[in-house]
Amino acid sequence: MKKVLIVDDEKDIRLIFEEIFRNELGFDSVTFAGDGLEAYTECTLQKFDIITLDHHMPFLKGAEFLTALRNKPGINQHTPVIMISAYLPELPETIKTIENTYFMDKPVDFTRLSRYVNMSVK
Amino acid sequence: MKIADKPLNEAERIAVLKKYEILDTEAEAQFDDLTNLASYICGTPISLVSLVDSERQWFKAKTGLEASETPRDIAFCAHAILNDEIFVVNDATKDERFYDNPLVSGSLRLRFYAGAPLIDKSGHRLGSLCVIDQRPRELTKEQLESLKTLSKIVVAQMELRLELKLQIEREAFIQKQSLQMLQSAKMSALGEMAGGVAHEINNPLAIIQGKVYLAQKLLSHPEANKEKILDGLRRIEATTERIAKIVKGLLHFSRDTGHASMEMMTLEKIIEEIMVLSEERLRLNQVEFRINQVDKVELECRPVQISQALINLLNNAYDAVFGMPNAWIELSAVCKDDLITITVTDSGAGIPDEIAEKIMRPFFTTKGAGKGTGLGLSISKGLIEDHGGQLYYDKNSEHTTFVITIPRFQRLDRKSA
Repeated sequence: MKKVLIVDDEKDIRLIFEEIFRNELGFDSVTFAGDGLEAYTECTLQKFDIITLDHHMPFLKGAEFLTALRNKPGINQHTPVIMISAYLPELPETIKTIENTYFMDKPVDFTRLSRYVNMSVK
Repeated sequence: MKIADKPLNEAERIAVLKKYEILDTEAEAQFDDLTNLASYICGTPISLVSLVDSERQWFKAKTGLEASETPRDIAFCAHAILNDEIFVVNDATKDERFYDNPLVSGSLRLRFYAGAPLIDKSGHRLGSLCVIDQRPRELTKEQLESLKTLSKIVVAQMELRLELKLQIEREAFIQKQSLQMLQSAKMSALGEMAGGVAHEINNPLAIIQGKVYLAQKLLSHPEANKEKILDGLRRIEATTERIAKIVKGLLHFSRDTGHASMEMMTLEKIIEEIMVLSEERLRLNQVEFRINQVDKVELECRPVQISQALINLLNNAYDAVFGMPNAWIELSAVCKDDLITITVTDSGAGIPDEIAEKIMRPFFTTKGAGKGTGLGLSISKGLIEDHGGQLYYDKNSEHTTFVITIPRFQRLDRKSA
């Protein structure tokens, strides 16, 4: 059973991603998080196959969440992440070298997204 | 006829004369007054302020003469500028240098000439203040002295005139520069928002794009779920409206408003428009925004300028409380006795006195390098004062409070009874 965690503060975007992951990419389990803190909590509860991550969110931004995720031992420490930002230049330089992470612009190129997911999830 | 020699420093002298930017300018009363006075004192019908240009003498002021210039070859003044002393010809018909000069033999019938050179502060003789008569004469010692004194006043007037001209040019330059500065300060405020704008527009675009993508997928099935597709289209519609609203807000903010006209606008509308631009940033950074009270009144104003001042206050408040626990910003806009009072309060603890007294000065900023231009408050204050209002820091507030007051009506005849 393939599991995805979708992190975005915009409900419409979460729902679109859900449909794509369920209908196109064959995921059975979709979990939502509305900000970095919620995402971090979800990551301690279950192992995901992939995480899509927005940056610009309240409480804990995407990049901060990602840094915390990779630095702390846990079940999702090495889970592939697709960072999707509406404004890539605002991402801190330090996260651009983090392992197993893809970067994408909003609006999203869904063909590329599918390719990343298929490459990352066996 | 003897043509006057040219002074040894002629090229330099001409250059100095040109610097006064006086040749071929309109008559000016302060020079006319001096020729009138010279002709009165010396009892001559004609008096001239003559400036000796390379090929002509040109008259800045003239009493009793129509001509505005003559060729330099026949000019008496060309002789007068060869010496620091007054040049006098008592009877030109008996002077071998002048008896056949067209000014003497022609219809002007010049007989008497006395010219005091116009010596400027660099020592150059630029022309002369002269008096002319059509009969032979002599001047008394007092008249000659007076003519010399008047010639100094002519030069002083020329120097004053130049100084004034330079001053006006300097002021125009400074004004132009500060206009450009104002525009670039506005643009950099816009730049600060650029990141936020990318987010504001790209997110809804992502929604539209996602819905379109899903609708295409749905339509490719033989039995397309119409209801689902319609729902997607409705979301797309709502989302485009959201983008349009943002773009409108941006255009609204960046417009050059120098010549905008006054219009009636409700307080609510002004505040709603600034919220479109500020809300997202405040929400994302956990700054609670509270609107306490907005009276339902119209006011006469340039709405964009009021928005610009308010956005500036909100940006400052945001910068001040950013990162503070339980940060909040509060806004209220009330109308009493035709006076609108808008207050913006943030959860900060106020501004220390030594800083508070400087904040309205242009270029004063406490924000980090590249973060603030130091122009926001001074520009905003100017915009509000243009409306006959005030913008000030309320030092009696427990928190950090800025107050804008604006009269509800700009023209007296509109004032409600």
